[in-house]
Amino acid sequence: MEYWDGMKAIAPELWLTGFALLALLVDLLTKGRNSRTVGYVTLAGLGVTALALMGQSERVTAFGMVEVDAFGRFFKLFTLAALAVVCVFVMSDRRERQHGIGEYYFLLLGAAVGIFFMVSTNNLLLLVLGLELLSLASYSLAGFHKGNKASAEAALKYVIFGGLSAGVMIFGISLLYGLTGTIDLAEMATLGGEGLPRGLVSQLAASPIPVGIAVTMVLAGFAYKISAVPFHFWTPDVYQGAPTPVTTFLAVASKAAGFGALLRFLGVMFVRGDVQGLVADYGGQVGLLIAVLAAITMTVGNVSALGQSSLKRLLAFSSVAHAGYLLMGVATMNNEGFSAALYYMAAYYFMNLGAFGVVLYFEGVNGNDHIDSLKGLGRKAPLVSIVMVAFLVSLTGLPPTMGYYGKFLLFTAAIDNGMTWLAVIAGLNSAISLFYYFRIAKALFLEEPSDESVPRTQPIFTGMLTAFGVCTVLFGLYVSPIMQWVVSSMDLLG
Amino acid sequence: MHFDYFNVLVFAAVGFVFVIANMLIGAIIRPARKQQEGLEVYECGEPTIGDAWINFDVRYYTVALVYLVFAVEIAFLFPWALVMQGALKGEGHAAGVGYFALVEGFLFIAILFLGLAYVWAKGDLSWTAEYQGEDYHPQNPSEGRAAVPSLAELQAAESESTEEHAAESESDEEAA
Repeated sequence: MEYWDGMKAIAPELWLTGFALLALLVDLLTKGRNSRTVGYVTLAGLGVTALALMGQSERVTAFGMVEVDAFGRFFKLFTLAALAVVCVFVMSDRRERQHGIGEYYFLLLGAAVGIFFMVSTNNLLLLVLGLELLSLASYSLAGFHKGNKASAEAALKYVIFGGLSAGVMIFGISLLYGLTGTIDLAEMATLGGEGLPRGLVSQLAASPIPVGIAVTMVLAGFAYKISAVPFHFWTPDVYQGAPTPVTTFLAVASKAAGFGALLRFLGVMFVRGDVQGLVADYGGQVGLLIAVLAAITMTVGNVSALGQSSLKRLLAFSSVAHAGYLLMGVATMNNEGFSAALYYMAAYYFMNLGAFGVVLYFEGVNGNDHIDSLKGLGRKAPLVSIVMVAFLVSLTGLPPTMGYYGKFLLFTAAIDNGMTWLAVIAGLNSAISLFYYFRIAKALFLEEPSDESVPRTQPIFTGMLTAFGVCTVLFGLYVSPIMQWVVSSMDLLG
Repeated sequence: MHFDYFNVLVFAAVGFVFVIANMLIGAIIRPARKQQEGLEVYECGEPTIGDAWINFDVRYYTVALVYLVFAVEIAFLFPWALVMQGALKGEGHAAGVGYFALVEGFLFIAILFLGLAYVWAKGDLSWTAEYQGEDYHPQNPSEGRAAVPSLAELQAAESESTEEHAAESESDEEAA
């Protein structure tokens, strides 16, 4: 039966939705007395969903909308892994109460459902729906501490910027629909000739200007999600104001989802083997636009990070800069660049989750996230501090870490595709980033502690951070497992 | 060929000119009476009561959100009910869906009902909702207190607003 086949294909999404409702129900039944229970339900749900995902192998289209393929699976597993870590962060957050916060987990799972649909559809309508589901959950999460002024302000800024970008994006999509007569990306790119749906080819032959306007508008929505310049203004305030686990979620899972959807949008529309010549040529021009965007994004991100005194704000600008590096891979508009972006995403997972975890740990110790208050912590909390240095080295892109190999792949992809100027700008930017990343290391190790207090230990949390640090270095030296996963996931363009 | 879209430009230009021209004409021909009444907010000719920038009761928003649960339900269930007969008989647009549609419809209602149950259990359906923040013991004591000042604090703040502000921000900094 057709419908049951479809339901089987979207089983991971159904499991996730089911567990989200279960989390809410458990929270209601236990009357919010112990929210850790809800946290364990969430972790169980993530595990079950991961199992359901790994059971899928064939490539199908469910309900004519949901594409089940290895590319989507990469981002879905990425999301699950990131969310599991965020859940542990919430449970280890010393500044967070551990009862009456069941909604925290429910909203995280709801956001995950949005991400799942967002990264696995060629249908622009479902893409917008997934994006909005993710956004709505993120808005509530950013303002989770209702009484905290910074948190409320962050949520409001996030809503206003998000609403604006989503509006621009939906307008762009409506233009694309009006021009081509279809909301399916694959149809848009492959169909030709007269009559509806008439496809992109005849539209480009008539005039490329409306297509350019529409595509640029859609890109605005993605640029907001991945916090690329000029849609990055919300990033520092929201990252700083939101609770640190939520910041981690926004910086890793939400950004990866934006990149997943962007890669699919560009890949299916302009790059795939079956698109017609005129459309593929136009794709090259879109790539150039993205290359310029990448150069501006990484420069603005790195230069703004230089003067920051708050650790979360610094990492916010650093994540803007990393969006620029990742866009470098997107701009090449071919398999090599897209694979490099995927690998860098995996590197980004380890080093950014780790860095935010360390920030969470130091917040628990100091009560704030100022770089000045890190003075001398290298002596008081040596393990976490050493691990932090590993993350910083990786974020800068120095060997022997994942960040280095990821950047190597991105630079190679850019140079191979005639964008040497972009690689040069990225190289200069990495040199700038060295300065602000090592201000943190300097505060940790080269300055005297201001008092003699010894921070309380959190064995599980510290152990997890150490594991991340080890992975960052290990997978930087031994790249083949992750590289193989990336290569087998790039079935998008085939 | 690019001029196919020239009429869009004309349309936009006329739109801009229309607004600016009307404001200009109004500025030129309207009498300038700078009296107090003329500067007040227009409330259907009635004298205005207080400021427009007031805090609305948060319960209005709660009710609006609960309303949303039912609005979504109705919006989906009408089309669902219309094709239901066809789905069960195996004809029309929903042919081949069968009892699956029936089950899914009820599943949908169940999920929305969970939303209602959630609001109910959290006490947002009783119009005079109790304050639920009492058992909030944050490990950083300044966080919870900043959220809900006591009545005495509010009155004190009203009577000597400027000095209180300075003192409050100082104590906040200490706590942080």
